[in-house]
Amino acid sequence: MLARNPPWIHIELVPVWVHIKNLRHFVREFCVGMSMLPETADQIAMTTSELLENATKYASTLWARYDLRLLGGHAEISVTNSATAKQRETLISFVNEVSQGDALDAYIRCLERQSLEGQSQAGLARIRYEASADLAVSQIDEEICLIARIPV
Amino acid sequence: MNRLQLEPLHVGALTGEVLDSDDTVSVVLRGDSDARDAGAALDDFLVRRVHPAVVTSGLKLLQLDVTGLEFLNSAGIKALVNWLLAIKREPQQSRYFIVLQYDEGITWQSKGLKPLACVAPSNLRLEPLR
Repeated sequence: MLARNPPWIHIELVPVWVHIKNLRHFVREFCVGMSMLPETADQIAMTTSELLENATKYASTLWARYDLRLLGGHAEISVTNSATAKQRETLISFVNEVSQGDALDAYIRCLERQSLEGQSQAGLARIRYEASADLAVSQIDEEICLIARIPV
Repeated sequence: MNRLQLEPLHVGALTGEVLDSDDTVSVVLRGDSDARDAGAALDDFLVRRVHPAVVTSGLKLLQLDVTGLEFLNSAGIKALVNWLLAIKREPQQSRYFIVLQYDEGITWQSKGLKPLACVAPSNLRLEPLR
């Protein structure tokens, strides 16, 4: 049965790096075709890229699910993948951390700290700052879903 | 060959090149920085090749031109931050100043470069070219 509120784009893919660029370009053109402002389309495309990079680099996953929903005044981009308990715990903690306080301050803190520690995930703080996004995370069993809501 | 004697960077769709201009040196980044190893390669280029060469040369002003850089992922942005942090770690007499030329018509550049100026306000100025 088809969902009552289906995503405008729904893709299940093996998270291979080379697909990310292709999907970024596709999503941008799709959004422009939906008469969004080019700047908004760029921000949705950037968010798409950063979330998929995150899943590709850090999750122990053989697949990922990408959804783009257009809901009223915002676009909702989500990437779901399987992850270990430790990975899920780390990601939830990180989303909570980068969602605190001013978005620019959180991003700068993240960039400076990550630079020192050689880790990544600055992409999430970037999404929040550059795309004015709200971030959320949910988990069901061994799946984790990162969600970014961007005003359009 | 440029005055810093640096070979260009080519990784995926990203290129980095050091060019001489009349009174300074320009680091020009072009293309898309979204290949898996682009962030690490850019970090290596800027922090381990460009930065030591600039310090050794005694240059005090450098241009960084990203107007042809269509996309830079967060790993690439971190490479730029690492470069700025490397400058800040130098003793005062070895530090240099970067003028970052960017294109306000490219969405990620219009907002995404501001954090760099916050990281190193004494070593970086953003200069929109359009």
